[in-house]
Amino acid sequence: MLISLANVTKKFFHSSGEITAVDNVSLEVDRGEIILLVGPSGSGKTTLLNLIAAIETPTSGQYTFNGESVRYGNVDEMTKFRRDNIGYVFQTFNLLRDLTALENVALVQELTGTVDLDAAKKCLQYVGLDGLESRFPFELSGGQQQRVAIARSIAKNPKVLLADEPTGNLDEDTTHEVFSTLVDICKKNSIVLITVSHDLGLRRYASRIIEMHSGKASDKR
Amino acid sequence: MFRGLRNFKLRLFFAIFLIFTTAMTGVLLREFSDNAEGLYLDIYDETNLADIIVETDSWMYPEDLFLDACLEVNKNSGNLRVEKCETRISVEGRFERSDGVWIPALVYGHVSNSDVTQLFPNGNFPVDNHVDGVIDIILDNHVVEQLDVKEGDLFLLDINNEVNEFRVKSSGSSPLHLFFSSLESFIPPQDGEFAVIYMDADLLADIMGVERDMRNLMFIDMKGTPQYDLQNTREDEGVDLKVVKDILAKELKSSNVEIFQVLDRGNIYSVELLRQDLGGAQSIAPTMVVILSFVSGFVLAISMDRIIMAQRREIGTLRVLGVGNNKLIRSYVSLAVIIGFIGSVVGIIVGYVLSEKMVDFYFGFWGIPTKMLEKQHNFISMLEVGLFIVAVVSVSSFVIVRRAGKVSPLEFLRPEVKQSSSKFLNKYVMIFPMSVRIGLRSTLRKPRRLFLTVIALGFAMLLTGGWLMTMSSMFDYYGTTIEESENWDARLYFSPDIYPKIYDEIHENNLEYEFVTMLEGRPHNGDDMFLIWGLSDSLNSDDGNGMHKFRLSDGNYPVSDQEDINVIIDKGSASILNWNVGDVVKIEIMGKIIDVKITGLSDELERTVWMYDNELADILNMEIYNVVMVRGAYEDIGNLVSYSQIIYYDDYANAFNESMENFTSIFVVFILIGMSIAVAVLLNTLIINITERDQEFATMSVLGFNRRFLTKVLIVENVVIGILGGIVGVIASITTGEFLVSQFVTWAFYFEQTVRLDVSLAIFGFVLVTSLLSSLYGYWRIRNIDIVEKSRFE
Repeated sequence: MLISLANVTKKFFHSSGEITAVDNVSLEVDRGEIILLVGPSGSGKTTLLNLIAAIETPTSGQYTFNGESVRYGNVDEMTKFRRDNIGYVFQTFNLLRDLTALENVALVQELTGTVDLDAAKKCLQYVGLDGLESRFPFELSGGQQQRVAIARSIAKNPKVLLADEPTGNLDEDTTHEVFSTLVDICKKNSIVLITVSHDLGLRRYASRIIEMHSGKASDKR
Repeated sequence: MFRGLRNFKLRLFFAIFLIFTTAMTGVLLREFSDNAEGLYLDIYDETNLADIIVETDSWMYPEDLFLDACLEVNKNSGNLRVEKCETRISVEGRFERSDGVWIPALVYGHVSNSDVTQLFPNGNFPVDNHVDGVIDIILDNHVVEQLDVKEGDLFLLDINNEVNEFRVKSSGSSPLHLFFSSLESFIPPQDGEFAVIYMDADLLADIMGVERDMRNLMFIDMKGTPQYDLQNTREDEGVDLKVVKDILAKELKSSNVEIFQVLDRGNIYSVELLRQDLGGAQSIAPTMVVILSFVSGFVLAISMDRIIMAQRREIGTLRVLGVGNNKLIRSYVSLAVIIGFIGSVVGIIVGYVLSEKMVDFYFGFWGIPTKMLEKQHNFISMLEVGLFIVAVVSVSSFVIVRRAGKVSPLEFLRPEVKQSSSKFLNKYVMIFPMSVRIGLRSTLRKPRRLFLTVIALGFAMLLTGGWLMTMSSMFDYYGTTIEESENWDARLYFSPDIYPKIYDEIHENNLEYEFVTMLEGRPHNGDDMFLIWGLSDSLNSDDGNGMHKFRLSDGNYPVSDQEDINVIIDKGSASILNWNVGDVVKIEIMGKIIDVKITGLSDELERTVWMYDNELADILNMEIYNVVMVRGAYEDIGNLVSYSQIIYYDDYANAFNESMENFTSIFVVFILIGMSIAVAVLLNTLIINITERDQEFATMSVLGFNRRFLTKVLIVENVVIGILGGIVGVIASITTGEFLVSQFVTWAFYFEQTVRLDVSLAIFGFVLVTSLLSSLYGYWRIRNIDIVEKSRFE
């Protein structure tokens, strides 16, 4: 089992009161699974994703990754965990504006200590951006930017790829192009893909669908 | 919308602080300027300051001779008429302090009911004569304050080796000695080391052993207020007065007066110094307010720009919902007005509270007794400062807000993705590691933002850098002048007629010596006064053993017996008069016009011309000596005191150093004000830069980059900004320094701007270090960044 969440709860405290974003969720994910995380707005999808990415710290519960307990609380340890295991795709792409497409991909190679521009180029080829390596983000369309973001996320060979509404800013045709690329890559490399989406049209790509409602998760397939 | 401002607390604080400092500095400078103006006008009104002064140095002539020359003016001058002529005596002497120490003194003999260049407050003359055999005098207010003298106190005064007992009848101040100096020097003696005494002219003549009608000074009051030649300008503003002066000179010569000078108000050193200082303050005060207001406006505009960008989603949403553009503009501009108002009001209040201390401090620096000051507060002036600042910051903000108002509402709802690195830049940064590359590109990717940041950093250094440059230039010019140029233990001033006695005494005491003829002179057709020194040994010894060591910056020592008399002149005179080595120029010495050839320029404290004593004697048709520089044991020198005024080297150097320290205090006040402004501008600008990077840093953190990497990126950015800002800061400092030096430099107080490498590096380093220190804030921000929140599109 690669990911194991046991009774994980995340609460946010505001002056107006306490909000339980993730409520006692237990979840187990195997290698190669393609998971679609669905649910209404405010149901806790993104928070659950962030807990898996070790961006958020749970209020209670246990998170085991590849058999080892994830050390929440230590910012540097959490960063190292993400660096070694997690790829992340944002809804808004979040490419670094000052870097070319190729450099955005090569950027994450820095994390491993070795920059291999050929490998980075292959990642871009993989997502269909051959020839656009030297373009800056503002020179690319939304779909192209998201492909760069996907290439960036796989460039360091993560074990898990988390995507928060990766196609939320794309039109329908581009959505399917991008998502099929994403799924294809994950399947070929045995990467777990957990993606948050409102788009029910993406169900067909998923091996498993988890629905979130008021912080609670339930398996739908 | 204003609720969102809680995220900008620090930046708003800096903006308000800047406006506060601008208002406070503006009020302090305006208050000083207004008070100085009040004092200056009071002096004119109360003292009936002479328009023309005739002096014959230590040579005395019958009063009628002076008055006859004066009467000739009304017969021959065109427009100007004489209102009143009055004569005086002035003589050097020695005053015994209560601790038994004799100090140099200047004694003036006033005629009864004297009215021109009167002491103030008025009504001191006539002084009662010979009450119980003791002579009543008026003591200068400086001496009263410095030596804590009371009315009725008795003391001894030595005039021409004749010691008498005197009683202090009252105290007063003379416009001739506002700046309390014995000679026409900007180095005032230390407190309690010099006295000025005013008494009845007849009694003074009796003490001196001359006829009661003998005089060596005449003050002339012209009808109206004729223009006179201002010392700090090259134009001759006193053309009409020059006609009167020429008539007087002609009449005096025809009366066989050989040694004389005809001067005007511009030569009344202490009043002219105050006028020039007032002029400087009147120029610097508004300039500083304008500069600082624009700095504040600029910084606030940058802050407003960033606030608008940070709130663009809200703005876009409101605009889409139908909120009018003008309403949004009004909201943001009213925010700027509120910020400007708060900063200005607090600044004005603090400036008002501190202004009295500032005025005391500044006039104390000039040595003007505070009892002469009727301090006033000009509330209109304060209001002007406040309104101007509010107007500038409001308009600056309006320009930014209006520009934003022209942008389509949808633009505000899109991510800010337009700017990016250039391909050109991309090529050259590839050699660096990724962290450096990111840092360099993010710094350089937005030329407009970088330009504004760097300009703001440069502006930040305007004041503190400018004052630093000015201070260092002054110390460069004056710092070691005395040590390097004066090689005597004491300098004695004496009446020429006792030269044989002094000569004998010096020989009896086995002192090393050099006699000097010291007179006043001026450029022909000019009114700037310089000292004329006739001497020989110092001009013949470039071995460093002369009593006065010349520091020639150009040219050579003079050669005697040439067709044109060879002279060395000080660099300040040369610079102001635009004279150079090799020039043959006309100068006037005690009414005689001669051609002299400049062979060398020397770095000196005072405006002076040096020539061989025998050549000066030829010009004057007589050999006279009135100063001697001596080296030897102090007890041996002390034996000469009874014959002369004496200045010991140590006292001279101490007085000079004290003046420099006083200058330093003023500079330090402005440097500190400037520094606080600089830090506020620097931090405000740099913090804006850092907060703009939140999303990128959060993204990189999500991707797995640790804080060390992010901090490296930040440091690279701040180093680049610091280097560019430092360079602009140095340029801004040099420019402001040039302006300030031009405001400080006068005929009497000359120095040149020098751009010192160490000062430039200090200014550069200050910007760079502040920029680097702001990385600490960035590091703190990275540590505490909410990566979930910040990695989302803003």
